Amino acid sequence: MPMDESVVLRGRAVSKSFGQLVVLDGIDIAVEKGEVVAIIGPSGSGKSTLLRCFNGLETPTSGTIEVAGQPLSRNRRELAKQREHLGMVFQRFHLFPHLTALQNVMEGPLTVKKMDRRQAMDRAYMLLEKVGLRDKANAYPSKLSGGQQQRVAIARALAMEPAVMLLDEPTSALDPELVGEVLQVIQGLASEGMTMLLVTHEMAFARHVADRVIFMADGKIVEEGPPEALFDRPQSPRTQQFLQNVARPAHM
Amino acid sequence: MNFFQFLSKYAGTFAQGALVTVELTLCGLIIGLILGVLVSLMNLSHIWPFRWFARLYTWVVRGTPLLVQLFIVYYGLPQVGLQLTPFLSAIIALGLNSAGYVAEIIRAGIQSIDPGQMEAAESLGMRYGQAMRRIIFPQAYRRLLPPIVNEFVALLKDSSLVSTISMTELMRIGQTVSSSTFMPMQSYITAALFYLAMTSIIVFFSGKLERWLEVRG
Ligand SMILES: Nc1ncnc2c1ncn2[C@@H]1O[C@H](COP(=O)(O)OP(=O)(O)O)[C@@H](O)[C@H]1O
Ligand SMILES: [Mg+2]
Repeated sequence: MPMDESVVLRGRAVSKSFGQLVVLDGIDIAVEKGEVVAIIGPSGSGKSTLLRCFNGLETPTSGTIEVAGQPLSRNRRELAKQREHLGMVFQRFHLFPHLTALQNVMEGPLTVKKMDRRQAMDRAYMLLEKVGLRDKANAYPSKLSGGQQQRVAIARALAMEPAVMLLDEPTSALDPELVGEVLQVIQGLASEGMTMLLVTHEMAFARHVADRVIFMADGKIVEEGPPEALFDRPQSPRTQQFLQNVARPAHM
Repeated sequence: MNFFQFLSKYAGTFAQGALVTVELTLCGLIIGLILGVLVSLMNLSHIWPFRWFARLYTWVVRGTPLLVQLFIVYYGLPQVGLQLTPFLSAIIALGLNSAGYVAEIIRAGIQSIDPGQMEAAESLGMRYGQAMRRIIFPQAYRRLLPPIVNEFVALLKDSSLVSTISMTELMRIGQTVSSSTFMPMQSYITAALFYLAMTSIIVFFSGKLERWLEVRG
């Protein structure tokens, strides 16, 4: 197969089982440079597991994962290197509580990239500015709202200059009034051309921001396509049923 | 001789014994902390013989009396050609013993950190060791302080057992003074007061240290 330079992230026939439980069942997926792909689907359908397979937090039972054309390594040192290309944003933020917002953002460049302290700090300030939290630079995570924490977490991931961002339900743990500020940051990244794979329950946002939407159920990709097609003319009964069931949140 | 006359006569002797107790406890604790960290790292290791050794170690050390361990070191080892002074025997036994407890404290402390922290660190591209050093340990050590202080206090009290291998520490002084004055009540109450003073000082300063660490965020 010829190597496709434009594909940043690729999964081929990715399957994952926990014991008897089949969580992912032959997922084929490719994300191109600059593309924003949204994954939707009922809870328990394997969306988080798929994202975790992409950055090596889970190892697929079978199938292959490629990042920038390279299969994900099983060697811990090489895997660590590859993870620098993948920015991960978790549902529950996972900021480092013993570090300030600024230190959280500096941590990756300092420890992993061995960046000069001054430079790391300048970049961290710039990134906090970008997510609208420059004034919170010296605050510890416990003093920040959920929305602010998630924005710092996004800045922390961006600090590694990843080729692609993986976002696992970045607004699901937030109070409704804090969802907008985080979506706005993600929207900003999309318009800058950042490649993103985003799991979300915000259907209106997915429609607005994504180039392509994937509907997953029971560990399989049921249907995928441009947002208008998938949301307005879903082909599969499973997709139709899911879209009917989700309470549509207000537009941002 | 009333109790105050007794005190004014023997307080100095007891204080010397207390000093030896402090030395023994500090040496034992330092050995215990160093070995305890090593054993806890083995316990968390990906390499199974390390894990296996760590579990065996904590199982044996915590499942047998310190007095037995002390006698094995002091009376048992000479039989295989290793004759140690009472002081060395004492700090080795105390150190090996507290290492078992310290290792369990550290393991529990590290495992109490949300696994999401390790995942977030690894997602940034940190290697396991970097994540431990930069992210996990700095969060764990605050939680470790109270149980480590408990261990410190327990070790100080347990060090009285080394009086049985003719170490002249606080308890031994109590015994000597008791048999020379025929005043066991006064002798052992004085020893108890010295122990109480020392454990109270430890608890007092650890409380201060804990609050200071909290203030720092
Ligand atoms: N480490 C694990 N061990 C066992 N089962 C797991 C594990 N992680 C996820 N699962 C199971 O896999 C299924 C899919 O989970 P997940 O990928 O989190 O789904 P989603 O993100 O779509 O809600 C669920 O049934 C979940 O219980
Ligand atoms: Mg999930």
